[in-house]
Amino acid sequence: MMENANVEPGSGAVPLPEEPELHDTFLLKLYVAGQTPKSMAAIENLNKICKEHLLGFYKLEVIDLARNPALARTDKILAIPTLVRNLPTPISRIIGDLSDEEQVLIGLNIKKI
Amino acid sequence: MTSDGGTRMASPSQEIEELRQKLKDAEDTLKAIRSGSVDALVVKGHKGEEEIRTILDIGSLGDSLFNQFAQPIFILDKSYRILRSNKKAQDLCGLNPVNVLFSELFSLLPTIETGLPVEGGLSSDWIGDRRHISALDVVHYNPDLGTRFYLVDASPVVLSWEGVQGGIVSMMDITERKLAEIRLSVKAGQLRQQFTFMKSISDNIAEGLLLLDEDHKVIFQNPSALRLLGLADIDLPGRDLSEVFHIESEDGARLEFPWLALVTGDAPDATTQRGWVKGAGGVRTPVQYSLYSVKDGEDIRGSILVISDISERISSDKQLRLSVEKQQQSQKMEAIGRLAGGIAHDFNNLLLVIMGFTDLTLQGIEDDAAYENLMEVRKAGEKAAALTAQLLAYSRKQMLAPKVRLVNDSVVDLQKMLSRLIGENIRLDLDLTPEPLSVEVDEAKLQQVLVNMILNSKDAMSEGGDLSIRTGSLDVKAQDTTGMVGELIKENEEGVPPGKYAFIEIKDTGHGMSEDVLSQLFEPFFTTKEFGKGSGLGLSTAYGIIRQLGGYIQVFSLPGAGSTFKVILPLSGNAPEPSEARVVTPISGVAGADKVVLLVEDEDVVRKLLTRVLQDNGYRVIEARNGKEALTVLPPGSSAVDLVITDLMMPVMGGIELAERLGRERPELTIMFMSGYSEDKYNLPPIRGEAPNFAAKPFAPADFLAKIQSILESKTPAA
Repeated sequence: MMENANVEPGSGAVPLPEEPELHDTFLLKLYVAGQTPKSMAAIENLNKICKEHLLGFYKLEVIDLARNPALARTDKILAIPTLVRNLPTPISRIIGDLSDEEQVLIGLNIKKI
Repeated sequence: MTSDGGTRMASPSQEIEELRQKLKDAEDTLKAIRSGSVDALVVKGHKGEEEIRTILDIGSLGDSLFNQFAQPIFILDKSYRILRSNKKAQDLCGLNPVNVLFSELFSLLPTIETGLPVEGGLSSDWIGDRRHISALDVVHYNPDLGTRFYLVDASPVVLSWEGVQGGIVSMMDITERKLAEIRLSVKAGQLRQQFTFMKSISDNIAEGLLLLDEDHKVIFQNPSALRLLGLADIDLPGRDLSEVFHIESEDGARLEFPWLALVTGDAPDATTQRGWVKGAGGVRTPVQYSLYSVKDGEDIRGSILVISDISERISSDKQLRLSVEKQQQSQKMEAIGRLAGGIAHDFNNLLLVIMGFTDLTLQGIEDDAAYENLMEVRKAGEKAAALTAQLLAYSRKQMLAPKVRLVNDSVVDLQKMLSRLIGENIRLDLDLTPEPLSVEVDEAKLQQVLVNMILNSKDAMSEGGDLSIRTGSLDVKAQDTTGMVGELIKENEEGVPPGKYAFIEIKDTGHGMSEDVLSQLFEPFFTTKEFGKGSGLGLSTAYGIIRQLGGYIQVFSLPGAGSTFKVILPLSGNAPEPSEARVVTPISGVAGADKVVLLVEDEDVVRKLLTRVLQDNGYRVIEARNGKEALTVLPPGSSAVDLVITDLMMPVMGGIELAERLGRERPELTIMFMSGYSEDKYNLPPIRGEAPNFAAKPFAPADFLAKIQSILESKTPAA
């Protein structure tokens, strides 16, 4: 399933990212293209991070663009693999195979437990 | 929602935020592509629809392929910075060059570009110029690899993931090929050098060389071969040997060449034969030719024909043959001389008997009817004696009475009878030297020689001509042993040895002589005259006389060009003696009164005749048939015998041995020798330090008695 991102109306200034509440549910979408090496690596890396840091608080959708390239349009995907965090807002994305765990946690704005 | 709709609806701050987000996404995407953490892109298809493109993962798959290349490969950016290099390239540099300028890399390592000028080479801006460099020869030195040769290709390329220009340089290691080429070129150089050396040899040798392939086609020839075969350089290559090499016999007949043997390979390694070849202008040259097979193991690869000009060898063979012929001729003359001398000796003994008894019989029968008949016998005997004398003269065994005379005198004496000799249609020209040239000659014999030659000249000029007689001196030098120059001179058997000579030259304008005639000129009984007109002894006698006098005769003659006879006599150091009349001692009836003579002679008739002559003249004669018998019959006592007369050649004991025995046992005895060989005179031992007494047979009884008388008279005062 896919949900549209809920974009908060800005105040005119660039809002500072807010720390998400731990109880908030993370809605994550991972765009892959069939079973390319980087796609497989990204799925594996993301599962590992989620189990470690977001167990019970996340919902993950894996979208295979090789089957339906048109789905790339929704989140304006340019490169594969790409991870999009739809919730909590604001929407953020991490491009790549997610092999650098530190960068992924920063990108998702998750504090280490 | 479309971007267009969004833009219209969005506030400016929203638009800025969206743009900022897009830029960040683009940056992140680019960063991810660069880092290699994405392997697919979403692109717009030509109808605007999304398409997924997978990026080849160079980082893993690419590198392994890249490194499998056998040649060094460098990938450069447009500033010639090395982006990547494969394993071979890293081996070449000895390090992994990244971010190093390609030119810097190579400037650190000694590299020589040999294929192109520098401006078109690797140091030029070939990426900026979008120029492809191909097949550039590069020599590169590496401490580990040594000197290597590379064929370098450099191409400008567009790297899609960079979106910028760069270049790729690949280097093919051609060291082995290059070294092989160098070895080949060195080898070729050596071969060329060897060939040049061999060619200069073959150009300079006198032998003709033809190198043939296995089909007998000429593949190489030297200048001598061209000269001998009369061919031009361009004629030969590729032509069959049978077309260019024709071998002939001396008389021009075509000779077979051992082709078949060559083809089957049964020929021995070298076949040598002789023949004649025809050169330029039809000049024929005698040659010896050898054919050598050129083999590679058992296979015949071709052959070499060596042709040697043997004209000189043949000419020296000919000279040798001539010299041998000359020697044989000389030996023949010597043999004939000995034969003639032997016959004459026996004849003389017979004539001595015939004439002796005739003389004895003639005495006191002047009134008898038989007197005239006996006188004819005597005349015939004299003629026979003259003939044998000539034979002896030829064999140089006649008695000569040499005296020192001026050479001109002989000619002047001759002049008196010359006009009578030569007749009216021959013009005579005398050219006598003013030099007083003394020679030791037997006047009468020399005149005999000259008359003989003049008569020959007269016969050669039956229709008239010129006869010139010239005298002069001749100085023969050591190196000039042939005496006279002129190739057509027929010499007597030996050359004239060095020394001073006088000559008498008799030259006519007659019909001359052929070489055949010249070669037999001095042989006894050789004559060109009609049968009965010449004895064939004239010139042989002349030859014998002159040789006995220590002189030489040279003849120059050509058919139709007259003849020249030159009598050459050694100069005498003594002053000439006046000529004297011959003293003839008549037979004396009282000369030998009461003298005792021991006569030793093996020929019974001769001994009988001489005994008779001696007894008739008052001598008492003791006879013996040889030396041994003489010793037996010789009575003892110093005055028992007045004179021993002995022949030289006798069986049992000869005259010389007898004389030696008597010299030891009866030294008081006087000995007189006699012999048919006048030269024996010179072989006799001296008696008491004096020259021995000698009488040459045949002699007239009167001369014999005169000789005995003179010996006994000379003995009396001494005794």
